[in-house]
Amino acid sequence: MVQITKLYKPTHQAVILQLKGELDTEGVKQIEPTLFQICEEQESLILDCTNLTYINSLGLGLMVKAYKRTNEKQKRLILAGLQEPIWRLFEIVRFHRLFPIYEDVEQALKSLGE
Amino acid sequence: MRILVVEDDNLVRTILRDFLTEWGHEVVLAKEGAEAWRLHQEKPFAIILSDWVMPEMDGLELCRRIRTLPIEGYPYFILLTAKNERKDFLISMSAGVDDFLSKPVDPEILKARLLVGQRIIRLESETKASKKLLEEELRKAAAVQQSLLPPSPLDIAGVTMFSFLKPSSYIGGDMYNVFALDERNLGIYFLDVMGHGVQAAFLAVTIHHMLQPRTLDGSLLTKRQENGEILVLSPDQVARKLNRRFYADGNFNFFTLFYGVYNLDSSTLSYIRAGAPYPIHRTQDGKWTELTSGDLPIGIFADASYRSQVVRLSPGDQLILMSDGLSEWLESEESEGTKLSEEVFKVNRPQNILHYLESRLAAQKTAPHDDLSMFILQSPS
Repeated sequence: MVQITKLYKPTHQAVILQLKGELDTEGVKQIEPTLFQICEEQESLILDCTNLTYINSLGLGLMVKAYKRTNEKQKRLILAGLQEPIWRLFEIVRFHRLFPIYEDVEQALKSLGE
Repeated sequence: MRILVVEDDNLVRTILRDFLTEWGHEVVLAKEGAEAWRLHQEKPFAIILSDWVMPEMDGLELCRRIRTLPIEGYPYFILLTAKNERKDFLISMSAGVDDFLSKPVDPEILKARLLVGQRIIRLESETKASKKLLEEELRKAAAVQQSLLPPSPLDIAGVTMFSFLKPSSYIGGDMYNVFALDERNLGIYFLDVMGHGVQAAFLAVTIHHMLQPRTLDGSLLTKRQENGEILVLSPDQVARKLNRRFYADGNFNFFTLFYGVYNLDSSTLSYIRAGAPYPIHRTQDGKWTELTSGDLPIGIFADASYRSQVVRLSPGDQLILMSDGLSEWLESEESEGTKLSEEVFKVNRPQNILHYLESRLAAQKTAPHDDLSMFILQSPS
């Protein structure tokens, strides 16, 4: 199960999606529609993973799908605040080279250049 | 239907029996809750028609107890009562009662309510039967999938291999295999398809068939040259071919893969790690290192690049491969304050590592939420 909170930063034209809990099979079903809708509507999306404790292979699949959708349209999908077990998994599957990843949301916002 | 009537009033009990018998039911009578509880335990009833207020055990308590019994069919419980306030209805429903009838009982209403009960019982038994059938089919599919795995232990040209797989449900997305590519080369793969269940298992089996060494006309793993000789393709060539083929099928799905070619003459293992957990190289003196270089899983990008890595296995060295489920489980489990991921590779012989893991897994109270599998290759001493 995963909880999502959507924050909008008009100064940065970016939406921040805070993920809390476990991005497992249930979690993926829960956030997929919201995530894809935001990918469609926004130019920049920051996924705040500070409180994300677990991600399974379907969760990784969802991230790749979101990456592809945004990348095709030259949009930005940025990850922030990955905790140690998730970071380790990203390293194993080499996703740390795929996504721009920042230590926290502040750094991610800075990277958007404002 | 076999119906139990529980009623302390002789007259009401007799009237109910007469109606039910006339409508073609088999009726057993009980004067109060404790007697009904005993009768139901001896041979469960399809429908229980019980008064609420009775001496000793009342109808609500009887219902609560019946709901705790692990029996095959679903007993449909109708409570008869003169109490008809909102709170009475709520209390009885939370005790597990299915229906609530006010006294005095109107025979036509009772008949109609019994029909509802019969309908629910029939649906429940049909659902159970279909579930059983599906489980049986899945068990058969699991047996087929398991039969594709290599035996353990297995010896090919002095190289010994040990493995185990514990699927989280009946079938899963983990597969591994080892085979001779030619006289001097062994092929080894270990794959894990995203997700679990039937879809993942189908894909895993499909990839398993793609990764077969068919030397007659070449395969994904080998190529027949003009002079008729068979050329063993490098792991990165195999990964690229597999990636193109898998990506082109249009359905977004990916899998992690370790694929290695072990050369018996040079004792070197050339491999690709496409998102699979880090393989472990364990030397004969017990030192172990994670082989961390690697590439993206297969099936994500059409133009993903894959590079072969090489590791030399000295006599008696082991290469340990595992599923992400097992890797995660080793990180989460502890043995006397130390993570199992630190402990397990201190165990010396491959068969002891597997034995140690299997005994730890057997002691688990809950089923794993992911497939757990391990494959160990030991070079000849």
